[in-house]
Amino acid sequence: MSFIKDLITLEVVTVSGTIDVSVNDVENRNVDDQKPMSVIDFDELFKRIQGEVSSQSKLRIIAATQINIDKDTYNFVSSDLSEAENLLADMHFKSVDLAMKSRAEIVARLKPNFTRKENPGN
Amino acid sequence: MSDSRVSEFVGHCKAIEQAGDGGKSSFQQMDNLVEDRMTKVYQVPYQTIALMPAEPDANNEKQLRGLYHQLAQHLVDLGYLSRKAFIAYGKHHKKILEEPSLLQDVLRGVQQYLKEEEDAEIVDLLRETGREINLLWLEQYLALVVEGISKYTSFDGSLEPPANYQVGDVSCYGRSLAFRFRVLFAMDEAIEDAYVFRKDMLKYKLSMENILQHGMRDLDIAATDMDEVTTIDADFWELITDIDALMDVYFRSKPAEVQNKLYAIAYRLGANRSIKGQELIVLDKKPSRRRSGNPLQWTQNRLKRAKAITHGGYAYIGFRLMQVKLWQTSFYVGVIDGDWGWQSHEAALAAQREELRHLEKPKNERLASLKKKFVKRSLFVGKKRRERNAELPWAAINMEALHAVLKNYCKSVRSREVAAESEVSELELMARLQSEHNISDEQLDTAVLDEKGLDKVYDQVSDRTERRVAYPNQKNRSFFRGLIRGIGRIAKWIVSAVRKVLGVVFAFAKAIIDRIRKGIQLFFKGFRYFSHLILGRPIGSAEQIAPGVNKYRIYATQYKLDFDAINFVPKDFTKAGVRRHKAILIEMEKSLFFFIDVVIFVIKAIAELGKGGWVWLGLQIFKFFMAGVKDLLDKGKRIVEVA
Repeated sequence: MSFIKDLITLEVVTVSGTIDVSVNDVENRNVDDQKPMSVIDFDELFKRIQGEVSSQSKLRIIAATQINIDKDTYNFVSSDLSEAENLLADMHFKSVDLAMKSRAEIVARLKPNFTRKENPGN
Repeated sequence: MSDSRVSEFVGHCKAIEQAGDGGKSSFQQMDNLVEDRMTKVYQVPYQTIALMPAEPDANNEKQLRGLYHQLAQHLVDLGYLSRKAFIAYGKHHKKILEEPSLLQDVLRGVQQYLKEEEDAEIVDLLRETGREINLLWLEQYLALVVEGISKYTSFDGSLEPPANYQVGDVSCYGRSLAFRFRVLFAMDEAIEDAYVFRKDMLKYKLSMENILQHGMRDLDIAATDMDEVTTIDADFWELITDIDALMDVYFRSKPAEVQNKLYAIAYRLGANRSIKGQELIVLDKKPSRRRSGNPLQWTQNRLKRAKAITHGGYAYIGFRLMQVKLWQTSFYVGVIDGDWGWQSHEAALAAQREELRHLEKPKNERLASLKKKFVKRSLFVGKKRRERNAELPWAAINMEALHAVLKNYCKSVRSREVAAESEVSELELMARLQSEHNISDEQLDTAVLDEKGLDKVYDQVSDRTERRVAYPNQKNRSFFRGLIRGIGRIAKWIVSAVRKVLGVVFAFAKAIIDRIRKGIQLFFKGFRYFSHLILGRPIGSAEQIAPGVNKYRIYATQYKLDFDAINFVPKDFTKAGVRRHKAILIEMEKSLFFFIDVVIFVIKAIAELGKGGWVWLGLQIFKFFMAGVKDLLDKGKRIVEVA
């Protein structure tokens, strides 16, 4: 489980904005390509989101949450949300729930089930 | 030589089990293996959790579509899906995964089925994963739903009598009972459209009981006060859900004029694979045994002399019972309609040939000779004469003898013999194919996963809604033991061309494929939780900006390895789009525990195994997944707590 490096804090951020996402060219795909593709290039999407968030240009932060290991929680919700945008805040907190539960469940399961088996000769 | 990527899969399981720093890399490699290779091998797509327009991948979806087809067939049999909707679904079945709207009728049927289902395992599954049944939920638990609903249409005794059934109940049992009456007893047109057993159908039950208990005695329906009947007794449930029990009672209840006489289903073989004049006949005026002690056999002259049993429903039910048994054992893939046509005739011939083949190399010659005589007596087919105006040849089926032969291939779950026999699993059968017939993993994979020659069977598909294929219930221990009788033929099919695959080959292939498609469907759905939560694959949904326009609003969530997350919502979002994306997150949260527990159980189990081919791996995944699910639901505990 050492591959999960940072379990001290949990951070969830919800952003809204306009990002041009390339659509994969399904028609002209090389026939030798093995992987079935999604039509949307997600890798590209999230690379751009991360770039845009740090430059704080085209994206607007709707909500952000930080939960520390001692369960201290900091929530930020944009003060100028319209009524429709309140839905985004709901969705944000649902993703926080899922992040917390996933982390707790996966860590609880993988740790006792899969422990490194040392070679008796070592 | 087996595909080295199977060993690679087992290797990843071992590496994950040992965890440490190699854990993530093994999850990643397994994810790649699943997506690049296993989707093609098993023809089940590995979709990430997303409501996205995906590239159609029809070549790798065959088995998933097959699973949906099984589901649709059960739903229509039980009246959860209308015949019209089933036919419409069938016409577009190749596009169902591309266009989820085509699955809406199936989804509504499943929602109704799950509302009525009282089976503890399904109830526990719903409790565990939530009550909101949408396509996302169905897509994940498809294999378990198909497994759960199948018992209501099986005839192998695997459906237990209900605890609290009342006549007229709109329930799984009420539907199952109506299905059985439609299959076995559609003497009255009113029954054809009955999808729930109603109070006014009690007269058919009484009529069937009369036939089964008293042969052709005149019915006295008026003597029973129908108003007082509110339940169906457990004995009748046990009878109507078990084809062997039904046939045994049928044979015991022969009309007086048939008792101790030679009787058979008889017909004449016309030109162009036609059957003329099917009848249940009895040979009068002759003893049933010769002086030698050998049983009397049919001849053309005896058949000509025999008398038809024409009145009452005894003959009518007999044809249907025989068809159901031939269908259950995979010799027959026609419709169960009591119409004894060429397909029924060939099914009976195929069953007899199969059994005679089995007796070709006996260990005990005397016993084999006796058995051969018995099997030969099960069927008589007259020879065609060449001269002009010659009479059409007769054929006769000794029902009791043929039933005894067919029981060797599949017995009732409740049968005492089955309880006494040691179980033969699919994996043992596989091992015997390798050790006794030198079948390699590669040969087995090629034949089974490519469904060699089976398309010829399915060519007979029509747009009728009646089912043609029976799947053995997982509880049926007799099934693989029965296949051992035809192991030589199965081996021959694997290594070379076999023209006619009906019977043991068909039964073997579809049972193995059924297990693999269920196991792989569940495993892929479960493994993608790791893909999203550990490997950072985004969870996305999209909505088309306008019909016919190839532009989408994208909603996406990405969990990183440390579970930090980013949500992205388009500036021009819609309420519906946000709700849909939130629904995906809720669905994931509900099923998270379930799949993570079971997938970890499977990875641990596979890590302990040796090696084999893709078929072997698929069966192992099925076995461990089902065991994991059962353990999880039975104990009401998380596997991690008992590990």
